[in-house]
Amino acid sequence: MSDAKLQKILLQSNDGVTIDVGKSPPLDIGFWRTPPSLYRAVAERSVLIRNMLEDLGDEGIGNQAIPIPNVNEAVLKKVIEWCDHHRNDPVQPADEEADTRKKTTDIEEWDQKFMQVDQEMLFEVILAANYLDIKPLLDVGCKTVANMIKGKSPEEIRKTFNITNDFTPEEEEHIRRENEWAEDR
Amino acid sequence: MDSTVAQPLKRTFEESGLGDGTATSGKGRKLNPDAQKASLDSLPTEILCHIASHLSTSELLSLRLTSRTIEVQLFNDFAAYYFAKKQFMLTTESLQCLLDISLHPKLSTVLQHVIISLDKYAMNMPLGNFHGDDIDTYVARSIKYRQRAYDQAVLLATGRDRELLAQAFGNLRHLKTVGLRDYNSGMRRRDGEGAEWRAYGATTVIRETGMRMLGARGSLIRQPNYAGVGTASTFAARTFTTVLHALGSSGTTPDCIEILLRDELRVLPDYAFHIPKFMEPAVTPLLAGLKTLLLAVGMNQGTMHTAAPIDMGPDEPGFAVHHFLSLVPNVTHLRLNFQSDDPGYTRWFWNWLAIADTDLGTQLLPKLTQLDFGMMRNADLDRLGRVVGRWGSTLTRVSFWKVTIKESDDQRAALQLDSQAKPNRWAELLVQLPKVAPKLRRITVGCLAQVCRDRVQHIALNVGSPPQHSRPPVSWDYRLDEMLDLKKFRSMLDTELKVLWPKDLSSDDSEHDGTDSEGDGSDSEQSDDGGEEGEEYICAA
Repeated sequence: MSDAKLQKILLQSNDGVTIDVGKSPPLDIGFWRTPPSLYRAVAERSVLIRNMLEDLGDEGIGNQAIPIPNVNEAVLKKVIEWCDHHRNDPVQPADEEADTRKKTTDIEEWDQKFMQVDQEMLFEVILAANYLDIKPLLDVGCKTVANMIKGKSPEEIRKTFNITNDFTPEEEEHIRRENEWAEDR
Repeated sequence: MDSTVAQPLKRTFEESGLGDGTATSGKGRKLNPDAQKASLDSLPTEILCHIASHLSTSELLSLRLTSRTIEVQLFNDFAAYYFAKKQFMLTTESLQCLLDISLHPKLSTVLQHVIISLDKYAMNMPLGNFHGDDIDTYVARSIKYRQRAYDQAVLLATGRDRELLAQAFGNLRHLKTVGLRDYNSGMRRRDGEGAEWRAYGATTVIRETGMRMLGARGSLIRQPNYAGVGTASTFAARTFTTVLHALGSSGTTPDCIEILLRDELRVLPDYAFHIPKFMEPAVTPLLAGLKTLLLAVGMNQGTMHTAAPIDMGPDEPGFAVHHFLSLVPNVTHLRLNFQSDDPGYTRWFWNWLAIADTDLGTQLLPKLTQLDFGMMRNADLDRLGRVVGRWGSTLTRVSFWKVTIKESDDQRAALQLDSQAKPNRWAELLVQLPKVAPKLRRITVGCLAQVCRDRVQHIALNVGSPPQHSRPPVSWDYRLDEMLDLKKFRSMLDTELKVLWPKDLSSDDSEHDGTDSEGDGSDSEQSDDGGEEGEEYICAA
């Protein structure tokens, strides 16, 4: 545990902006009485950052910003917002079985609203969650995309995501055939 | 380079909202307009596959069709999920699909586990069994059903099924397991609760005729008149021998044959295990290469004449299943499920198994390290111990799944003298096993029961409460370190394998109603014979 002096956790985005985990966005309890351990709880939603903090030790935290070279300021702030809201979530058991068992695409309301962003931001958040190793956020992001695919024809999916059909007619025919074999028919 | 010119152009189009892809990409493959810009088709494969894992089959298939970039990334997951293990049935459409897959350059190397299920049209399906909103619908359905039934009948009569199977097996270079089944797995989780993995083509039959070909137990027609092949049991035998012959002649040698049959009407008659002279050259190398053999044994009314009479001596020679077991000397894992548990047959089979070498002249299953017992309603404490002891020098794992130990005459007599005695037959048995099989490292048990005073008592796994969000265990392992001290092992077994005594004998247990005396059918998801979930558990190294 850290001592009494206020301990900041600073992250530096790839566009050179230093972000104070405790300030951005403001926490729902006053900054002045926010216990320092709270920043850690927020930052440690990321397994990558948690490991870095462990490596740095208490000495190293607070004075130097941790570089996050793959994530820009806007995305990093968005990710911190999510981590802050979910800072008290119980740590998911590393149980792969539990993962495969519930393949539902239910997303809790706050996360649904959080994910109502333009597609580029959505995919950036997913990539950042993957890079920073924030499994629950990655999962919410992937579910959001899956929900955008659900119930659509291939053409509608292409439209939604601005995908170019680069199949040759022969290739497309092959894929249709493989699909037939995979279908429940 | 083209791309340096195309890139700024493309970006302007997209920023102005005018880009539709076609205007800029022109010819050939799409040029990635902006490597920095995140989009669905620029995601890393692992993330795209994560997204796809949340899609149902039809949604995933639509996504595959959107673009080659995406399809290529999804391919490995797609292939492994749908084609590593696949079920077929003996109809033209289904076997043609198997053959087509075996000719596919990539999928033919992915397919490792082929299941042939016993889906069969019935020739005597009454018109009244068809349903429809109006008479035209159900008449049309019955006509369609009849046409398909005829087609299957001729496919089987001409042996075309064996030709197709042999061709396909010959192309499947990575085939590891061939299975025979009379049920569909209900574990198609991707498509929701209760979705099944059916044989290719079976769903079309349901859609077009309203009929399920692979009836569950208690289905409409219990003894259908199967086209040209008699009873359900003879159809099972025909299918098994056909698969065996096709495999043998294909030259492909899988490691594992799994016979997972549940309905006792479909029990394989003894002749199904007979290898006639003409099959020997092809089938003997196949059997000699097997490492794992999951068998369903038993007998029913229709096979009386080929199976053993009740009082046959244990050394009676000449039964095909015995000879069959002598042809698989490299099998290290044997499962014996008792599909129909006729007490006489079981007793005879076990007696034979316990002393098997004497009538064969060679050592039976000399490499056996794992022996599973399943679905036995009339197991006998003494014989189970003797059979384990028979392979005591090689066995490292033994499992018991849905086995009921019955009481012997002596045991019953002893209990009559002591009305308060509450024996724990399973603890009595299991504590003996490390003695008779010193190399034993693991004993797995699940869904056990015993009979005392002519009543069935189930065994509860009293192994503490499970961690949050997980189901209580259905099976349980005992490892070497727990077996080292036999006294401790016995007291552990007495505690953990808790006999659920009826109320009049016990004060500490009142929850169990004891109605599930068959030890069967109550848990639809957990399979009877260690298939699927149970199987994963049992087979885990």
